[in-house]
Amino acid sequence: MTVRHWFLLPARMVQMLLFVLPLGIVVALSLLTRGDYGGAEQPWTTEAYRRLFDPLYALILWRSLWMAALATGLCLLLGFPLALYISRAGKHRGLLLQLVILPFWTSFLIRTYAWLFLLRDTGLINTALLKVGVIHQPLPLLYNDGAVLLGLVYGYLPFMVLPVYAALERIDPSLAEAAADLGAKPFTITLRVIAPLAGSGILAGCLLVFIPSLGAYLTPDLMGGGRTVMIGNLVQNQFTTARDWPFGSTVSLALIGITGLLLFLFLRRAPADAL
Amino acid sequence: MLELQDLSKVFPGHVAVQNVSLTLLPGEFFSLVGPSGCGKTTTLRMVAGFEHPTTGRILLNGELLNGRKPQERNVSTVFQNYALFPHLTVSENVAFGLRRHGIREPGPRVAEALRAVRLTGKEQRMPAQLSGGEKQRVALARSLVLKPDVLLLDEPLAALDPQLRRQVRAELKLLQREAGITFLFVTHDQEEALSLSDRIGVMNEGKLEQVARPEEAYRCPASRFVAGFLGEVNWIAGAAIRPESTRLSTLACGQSVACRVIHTTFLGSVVRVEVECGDGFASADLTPHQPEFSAGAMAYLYWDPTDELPVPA
Repeated sequence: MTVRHWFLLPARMVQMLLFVLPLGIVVALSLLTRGDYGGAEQPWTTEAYRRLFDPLYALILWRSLWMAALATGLCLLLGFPLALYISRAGKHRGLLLQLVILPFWTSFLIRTYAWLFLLRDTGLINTALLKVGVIHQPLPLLYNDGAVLLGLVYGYLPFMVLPVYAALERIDPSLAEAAADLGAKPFTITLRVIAPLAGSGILAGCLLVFIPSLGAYLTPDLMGGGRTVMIGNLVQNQFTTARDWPFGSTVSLALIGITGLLLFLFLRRAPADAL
Repeated sequence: MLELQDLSKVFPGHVAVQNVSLTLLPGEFFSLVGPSGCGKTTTLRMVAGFEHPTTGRILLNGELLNGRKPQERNVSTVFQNYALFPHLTVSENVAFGLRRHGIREPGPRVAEALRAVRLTGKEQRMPAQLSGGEKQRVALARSLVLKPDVLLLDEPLAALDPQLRRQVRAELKLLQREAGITFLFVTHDQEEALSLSDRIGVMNEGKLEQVARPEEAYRCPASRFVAGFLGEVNWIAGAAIRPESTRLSTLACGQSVACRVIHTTFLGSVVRVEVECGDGFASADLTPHQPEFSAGAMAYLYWDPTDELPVPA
């Protein structure tokens, strides 16, 4: 072993202890039979994998993919113009970037609770609207798909803005001038020159939003009120209420598999500097 | 015809361009030349529409350009770094402007433009796969294909290596004659400006100091700055003389100035002799068959009074 290998040892140990070992346990659990009070016991079986194809769970998986895709699309729609605006804000760029990062100073859990205070029937928005007399019944702002989507977009928007901003920052400003000079209107310049050149940043942003959205647990749990079940909630449910550790393990492996597949497709197509 | 009338541009804290008036004739190759920061690029950018004049007017064929967006001006710019779209092929780069002008089938005109700059066969290359000279020709084709009234060139040769620069210079001049388009060329290289242009405008600290034909500006500079910027000048005995008009002799004759030889350098076609005389230094470019002067030797500078530059010394 060379010196270099010794220095890598701590990293290797962390990798083994915190990644390879737990993943091995999850794989082992997924192949066992459920215990009566949680846990798992012999014999080995692939029963849990068969259940994965139950239409009920396929539907949950499909819902999760759909919600994550919607959240990603909305983040792109909101995040791209924002990143473009920040990249052109001159000396205020630093401040605006700080504001994008600011929410991270508080726990995600607390920020999600803050949304509950805003959106619930007796929350700030409904109370205000009732007082003004615009509505006579509280609006159902919480505990539906819309609320979950709002939570996801709110939570992961910075992950879209930052890589897109970094990509926009690298674009030579004379390219936009050249496009204008050749007769392109501002929208065409954005669509045909700026967006394609920020492609790697957009792709990275989409991935950084899509992956955590797909596995989101907290947001659908709190803002969907249990009615909007996503794949993350299914995993949690299996390990707690349902006490079916093998199936919970199988679902989380499926999630890892889908994420891995997407990453593979992304890295194969994207240029090396994308992430 | 492009007219700049009393054009000024003030940025916070400094005046970039000050009262520049200029008329470019149709089909003319005009160079704005001056040291960096003299306002030549700002002037060009105001014509392109990237900067707005603080005061003054820009007219193209009698129509006021002030307030018009870059998209709405029939001028086109060749950028210093070429600003080719890196995600588009050569032919897509050239077709970009045509498509923006509503031409659905730009193919034939793209092919014609690429033929004019000798890039036929490289249509499907990406900009990153091209040499510096090729990139520059794509940038030219991309602008010329739109048949602008004026082509604006912002130091288009600066990024090329010196050998290539000479060759491209000749090509550029030829292309301009063939296209018959007015070129407004910006450069800090006086040799480039003198050799390419029908007329030059020398700028210094935001002001246009002289507009003239190259020989006229070189021989009859309007100011000390112009004299010194376009070539070397010996300021001796109240006169201003170019080194190539300065003679050196071992004998005192007439109005000669005594001096001491410091250094001689062989430059190929001429021998440069640096001398020190009473009120400073001077240089004389001698043809190699003239007598040799060794360092330390006494010599006499003289010149034909008609070669004196008509500037206050």
